[in-house]
Amino acid sequence: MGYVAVQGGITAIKNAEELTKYMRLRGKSIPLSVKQIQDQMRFLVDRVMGEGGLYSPFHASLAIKQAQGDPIEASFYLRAYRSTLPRLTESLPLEMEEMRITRRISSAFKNIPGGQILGATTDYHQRMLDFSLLEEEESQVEEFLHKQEQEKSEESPSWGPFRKVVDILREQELVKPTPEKVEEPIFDITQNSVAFPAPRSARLQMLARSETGGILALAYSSMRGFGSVHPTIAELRVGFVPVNIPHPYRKNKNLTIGFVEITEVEIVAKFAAEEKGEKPYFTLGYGICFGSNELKAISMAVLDRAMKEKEAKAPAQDQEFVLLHTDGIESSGFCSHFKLPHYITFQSALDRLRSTQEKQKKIKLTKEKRL
Amino acid sequence: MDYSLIVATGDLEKLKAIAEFIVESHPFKITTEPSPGMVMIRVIDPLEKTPFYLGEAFVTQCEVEIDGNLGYGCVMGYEEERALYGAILDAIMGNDHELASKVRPMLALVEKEILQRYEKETKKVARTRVNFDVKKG
Repeated sequence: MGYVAVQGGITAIKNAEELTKYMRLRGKSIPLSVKQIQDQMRFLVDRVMGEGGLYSPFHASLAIKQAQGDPIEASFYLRAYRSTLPRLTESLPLEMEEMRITRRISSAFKNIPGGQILGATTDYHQRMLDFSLLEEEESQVEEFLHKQEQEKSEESPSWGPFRKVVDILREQELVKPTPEKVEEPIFDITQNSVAFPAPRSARLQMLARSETGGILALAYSSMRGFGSVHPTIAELRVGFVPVNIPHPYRKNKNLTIGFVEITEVEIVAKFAAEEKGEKPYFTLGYGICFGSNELKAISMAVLDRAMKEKEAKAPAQDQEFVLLHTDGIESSGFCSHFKLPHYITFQSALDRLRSTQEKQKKIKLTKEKRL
Repeated sequence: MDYSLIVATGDLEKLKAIAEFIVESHPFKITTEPSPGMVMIRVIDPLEKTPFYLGEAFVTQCEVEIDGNLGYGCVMGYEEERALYGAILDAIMGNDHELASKVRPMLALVEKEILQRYEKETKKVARTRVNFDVKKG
């Protein structure tokens, strides 16, 4: 039977909202400013922007404050806010060659043109609590920043160009030649319902705004053997890419409206030939998301590759399974709805159980009589 | 550097000073107040060349008119002032207005600052360039 709604409880609901605010403030610490969150919680901000589907560090930080640090709740606020805004236009395709690189590594090759750049990473840290942060004071921060400002690098670094590793593989005929640009219309999951099998544009858009933990779990299942994509990272890049839009009334004039920070990953997986007897190539997967979120981009690339299998033999290879279960807003919404009163539906289940138990009791008694 | 990129990333106070210099002698009329919106970001995946939508970016847009010339400003973020200065600059630079030649060197100074900032950041990032050695034995 379907869900039967309830009504009333307004006073208690209002009081619950006030209590939620009280729980945030009862410690009497200085209220967090949105700017503090934006500056110092950048990975959380990036995650919320990616999962909310709206690039806006300011609004994502506000959402985090409102959600008291719950990333899925914050993404929900952001996505809801997004639905109130008009879409003015589409950007021109991002030119990844123009990325201002802040990190770039390859686990496939030691030497890549342009070099490997660790950037700001904790990959080589020992995971030990840093108790010195307890003593962090404004004066120390100022001193640190002043030192950073004064630091002189003797020479300008030779910088770029950073050719894509996948293009080098392509030149060596280790991966399939570049296809012609696909001209099919772009599927927009924010405007249309997805049917399966979904076009690649829909798959990539859905993965790009999926929930990090959700796609990490499914990608991990594939890495462990359920679908078996063991990735080698051809290249992982983090950086800022300019966003250009066509001028609304000046022909052949584009406007740069700012920079978007993105993480972009290409993975190389096992080699295969498309048909028997044909030349084998490495197979590839692509991942991209807003901000600095490497686990998400790698997981996306693994799943992109896994879903290319002609026949799905594992959950991670099944488009519908992957794409319909990894949207944070949809999955959390469905999970949360179970917290709402289900009195009538449960009453019906109770009635059925009692009547079945009654029937079973009668059958038992009849059997005993016969004996 | 294109003037729109300078508007999007330059120092706000300096952009304000340039906008004020313009409107001092050439009054402007706001035809569209600074207002929020979104731009859908398009990406072409490098493997199969499939264009797709990455997600939307929050933007602020604005439109002005100066001496009969329309100017449009659009910048990422909640940036009403920046969008307004962008529209004023677009009305001048985009229409090759008589003030354009005076404004160009002013914009060049803002551009210089942007480039200096980028260079500083690049130097910091470049210090993390690594060359791992493969362990022998």
